[in-house]
Amino acid sequence: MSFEFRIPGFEFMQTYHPITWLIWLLAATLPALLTRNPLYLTLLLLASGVTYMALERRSPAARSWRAFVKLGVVLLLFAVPSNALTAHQGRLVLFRLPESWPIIGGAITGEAMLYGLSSGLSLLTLLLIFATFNSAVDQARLLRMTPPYLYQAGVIAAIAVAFVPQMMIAAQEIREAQRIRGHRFRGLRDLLPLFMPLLTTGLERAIALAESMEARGFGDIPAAPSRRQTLCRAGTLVALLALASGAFGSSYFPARRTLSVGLMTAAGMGLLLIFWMQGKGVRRTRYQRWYWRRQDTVVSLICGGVALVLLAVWLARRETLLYYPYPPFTPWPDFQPLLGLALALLALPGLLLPGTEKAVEQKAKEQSDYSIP
Amino acid sequence: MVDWQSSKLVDSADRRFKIEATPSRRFGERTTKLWNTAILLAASLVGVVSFVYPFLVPQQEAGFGALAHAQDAPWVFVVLVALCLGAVVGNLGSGQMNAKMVAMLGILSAINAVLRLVPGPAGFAAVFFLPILCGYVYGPTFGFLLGALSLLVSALLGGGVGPWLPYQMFATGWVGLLSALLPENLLRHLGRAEAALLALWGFGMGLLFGAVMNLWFWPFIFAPGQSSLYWQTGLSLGQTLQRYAIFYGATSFVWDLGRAGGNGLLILLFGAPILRLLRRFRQRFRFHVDLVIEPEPVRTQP
Amino acid sequence: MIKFDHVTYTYPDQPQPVLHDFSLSVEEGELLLVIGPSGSGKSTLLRCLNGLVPHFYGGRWRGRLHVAGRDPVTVGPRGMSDLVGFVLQDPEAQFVVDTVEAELAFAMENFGLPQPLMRKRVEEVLDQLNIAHLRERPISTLSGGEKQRVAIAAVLTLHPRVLVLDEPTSQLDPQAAEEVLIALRQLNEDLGLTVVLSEHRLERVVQYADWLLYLPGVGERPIRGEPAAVLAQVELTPPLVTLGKTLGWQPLPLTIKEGRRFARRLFSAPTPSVPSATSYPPGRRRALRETQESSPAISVEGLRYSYDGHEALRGVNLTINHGEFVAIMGRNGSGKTTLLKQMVGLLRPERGRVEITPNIQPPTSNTQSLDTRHTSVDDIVRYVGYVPQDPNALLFADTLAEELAFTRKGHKLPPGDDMPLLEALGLTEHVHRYPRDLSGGERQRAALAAVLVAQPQIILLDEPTRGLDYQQKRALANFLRAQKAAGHTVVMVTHDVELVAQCADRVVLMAEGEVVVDGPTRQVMSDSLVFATQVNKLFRDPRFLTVEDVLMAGRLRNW
Repeated sequence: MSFEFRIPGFEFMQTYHPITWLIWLLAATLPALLTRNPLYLTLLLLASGVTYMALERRSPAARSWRAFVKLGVVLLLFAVPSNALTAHQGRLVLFRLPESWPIIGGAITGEAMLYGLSSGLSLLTLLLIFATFNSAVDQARLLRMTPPYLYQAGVIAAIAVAFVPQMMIAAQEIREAQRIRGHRFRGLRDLLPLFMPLLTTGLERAIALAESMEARGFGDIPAAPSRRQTLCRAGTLVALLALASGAFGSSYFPARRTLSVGLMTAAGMGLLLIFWMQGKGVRRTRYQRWYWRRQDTVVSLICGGVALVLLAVWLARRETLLYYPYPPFTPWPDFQPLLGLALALLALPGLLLPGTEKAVEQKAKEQSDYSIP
Repeated sequence: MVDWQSSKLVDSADRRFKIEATPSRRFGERTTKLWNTAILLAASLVGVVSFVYPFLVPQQEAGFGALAHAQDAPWVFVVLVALCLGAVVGNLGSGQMNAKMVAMLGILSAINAVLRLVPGPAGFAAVFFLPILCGYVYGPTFGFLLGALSLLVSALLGGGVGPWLPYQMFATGWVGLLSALLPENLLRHLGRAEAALLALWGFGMGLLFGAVMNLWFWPFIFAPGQSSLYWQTGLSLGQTLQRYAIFYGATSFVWDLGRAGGNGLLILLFGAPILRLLRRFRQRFRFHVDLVIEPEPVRTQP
Repeated sequence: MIKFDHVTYTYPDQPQPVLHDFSLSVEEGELLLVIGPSGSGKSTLLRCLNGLVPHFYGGRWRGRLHVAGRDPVTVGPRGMSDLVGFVLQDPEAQFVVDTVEAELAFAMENFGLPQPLMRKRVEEVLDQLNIAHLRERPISTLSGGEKQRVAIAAVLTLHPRVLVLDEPTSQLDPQAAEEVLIALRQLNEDLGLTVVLSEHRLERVVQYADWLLYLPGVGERPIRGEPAAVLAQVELTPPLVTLGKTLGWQPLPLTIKEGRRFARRLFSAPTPSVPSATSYPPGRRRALRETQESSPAISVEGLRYSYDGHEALRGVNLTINHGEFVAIMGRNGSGKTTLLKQMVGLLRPERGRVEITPNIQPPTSNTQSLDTRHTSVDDIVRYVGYVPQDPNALLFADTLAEELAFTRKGHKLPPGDDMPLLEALGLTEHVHRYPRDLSGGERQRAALAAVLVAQPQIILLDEPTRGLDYQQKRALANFLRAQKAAGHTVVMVTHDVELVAQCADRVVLMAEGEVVVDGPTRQVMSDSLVFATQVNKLFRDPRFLTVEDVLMAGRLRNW
């Protein structure tokens, strides 16, 4: 994992509206999770790759997510041999290891390698999609988009993001100060004089921060739980129990799968409704300056369309998405050209990104539009 | 204690916006706690099911439907866990968090994220270290939120938002929460042994966390196939457990051992002074404010 | 506007009330300055205005308080936040979000103001405080002064009628403090905001205040009145005012301009426009000669250093002899702290070198010089002690005694008697206290003790006077002079011209990573516009840097 901490906000130029990127994320993650078909996956990989590279040219933030991608490659390289060495099924036997060897003894088959490849590919694709999303949208600004009923969590995360650079500077100062007192980092125990001042300073600043927040009107615990709140709580409880039973049922009672899935969907919808209701009770607004441009509409519509296509395929013709090379199924994957085209369309955000100069112009124009006369 | 009255005021410049001043009070603490516990248990039930579904699938399953389910399941369950997290965090947030808790959680999450930079497996173990100790001293709500949110912040700032994030958040939140159930009032009199016990606890938690998190990867990487390592839909519970144990042993047990060991070591070394510090600040923060407004003496002169 | 009516308040764990039967009344549009020694209740008083006291802390409250028609005790901090804006001391601990614009919006979001209104107010406030160029910047990249202005802007978005500031400039350097105070003055005069602020450094702000409130602490009555009248009764005041009080100037001058009238009448001989380098009082001349004869303690040659692509030091040449007291001054970012860190070996030179020559008695023929490039920090800190800017970076143990023991252990010294050092610093009663429970000034001294317990020959101090009041600064000056008298070499980075005038032999001015001026204190300071003391600005005479100089000269002339 990359442990580079970036100070967010500075290098970001809005590529698309975060909602657009979320729609893209949804449209891209769906196939990555729903299919192991290596042909579809390759197309998806290429599409996200194009987008990622377009971003890399545009924003320096993208470079820090390379580690994500590297992790995916590592997992791919791990999955292939581990599958090949442990699964001993299939008709295309490549070579044989003595049966007496534990776990890896037996036939090493081509199908196993193909399966490993497809699994690894699916993970790699997933990671690349997330890397693209992470570098396109400033996560710190994502926090501004937390739904209203979760606003406290959003503020906590925002505070944390704001304080990390400070804490790192403080950690450096502490290290130097303790060095002068003859403190050397020889073992884990010597972390204490470095960590304690950091923690104490953090807690002291938390008190001051709490004062500053209250002085600006934050935090309002209602006098008594209102009826709405009790209703929401009861509803949440019921929905969660329904969700649990549905999840349990869908695994344990395969015959009643439709019922279980229906229960889960209903419970999920119920929860979302409750979240929305709780959000209504929060008297807070959000200050945002995201601009919705023409490209956003185009990209959102197309990505939304792709997601719908995929859902339709999943509901109607699921066979094309599945890939299981072992007998009695065939190792050759199925391919529907229309679905392939849909997946290729996911490269659209990358292709439509304007060049850096044009983006700067656009930004300047938008800011001047909003100036107060 | 005084009974407050709320006052409605109107901002003269922007007449449409009434600013209500409702002073803070905490009513019905016990009912709140009951609701919290109930919702948390229900959410955890969902979480548990999502983690252990590979063990639940019964023997008769075979064929196409099984494969389909096997492929959809990880995605579906990620969404489920995310929903649960939303429900729990939202429920904990409403009506219980004031600025002090928010500020403290924020800054401690930041420190936790910085701790993750400590090299080696100790870095990731360090993510548990504060949630365990803070959960132990400050209570279950605080512990859960610190665990879940510090992982979110870590992910946002360095590790990346990946599909396993909801699971990690949930599991770390649970670690913080469970640590709050340890009897602090009893243990604090043990002196040095307190830190040792907590270290043992931390070690156990680290291992548990590792085992549970691997459950996410397991069905994903390996196919339903007929091999001793794989999850297969047609097996009994016992056989599946056996297979999982082998898988775990072969892959990440060593890594998890290192991580859990690092966690335990950190608590052993730093537990005592940090507990002292947290207790000192528990007093300074005054989460429960005791305020007495004395009535004015009768004035004989105007 | 603000009315305290027989208010008594006690903190939860304390036996004595902080405010006792306190009454005060402030009219709309006034600027009230609250002064007093540390711990006298200034912070408590300010927090009463927006309800943080008593709601945030608890405790016992008696009495009535009205601020702009509302009662903070009934309504609480949230209810007061649209009427009273509160700014804290520490610029690091007031920000919730990472960028400036989002921070400005935070207060408005809490009140659920609609988006267009928020946009409008954000733009207004950015212009009012002149920070529009900072709008997209992450807050962590701003300077202290900019951060405080952003904090003021953040509370201004709710259009409060009262602005309350708790020592807003104590953590800032003089330029930044000036920016903030100018902004406050503008808000008070142009917008008619009532401003209540507490300050230690009175020089810059006392002339703008309409009223002064002096809180002497437990047991004594507060004094409120016009600035000149109150200062006449207060002991610790800026040098100009002290001079005025001693010489009986009426009405008491608060600014240099006012003081000039009196100063002109004092000395009939015209003051020379170009200070002559030989016009030193005899005592000083002797001291100079002595230091010139002793050996160099630190010698810096051609030092170059850069980090993050920024050249911090560009060829610094400096020699500091044993027993000297050198003050390094300069703008923020001129490389002063970097130079200090080079001297102690925390940073290594890119080019050039830094040599430390310890003063080993009896002097041997080959006293080894330590080149920082080839010596480890452990060896250097045996002779050089560095006290960083922020004492919070040092203090972590459970008691002060343990802190000192930690340093001893780190330097591999045997346990010894720390009492003389603690007595000299006035910390004897705090030996067994938790160091982080101490107040700001006491923490500075505790950090000093923690470093000096190893008895280094060369003492490097980085901004030791942050947040100290006049009394604490005087005590620090005495302590440092005693250290010098004991034979230690002291190098101090500071912005505080008065302290430099009192203690330092030599002043080094740095700018852009280079040494611009290096000479005896008197000469450098009297030749400078910015780094001149109040007394110097008053008389424009190199003979007069401090109040003592004037009084001594006066005595010689038998006033």
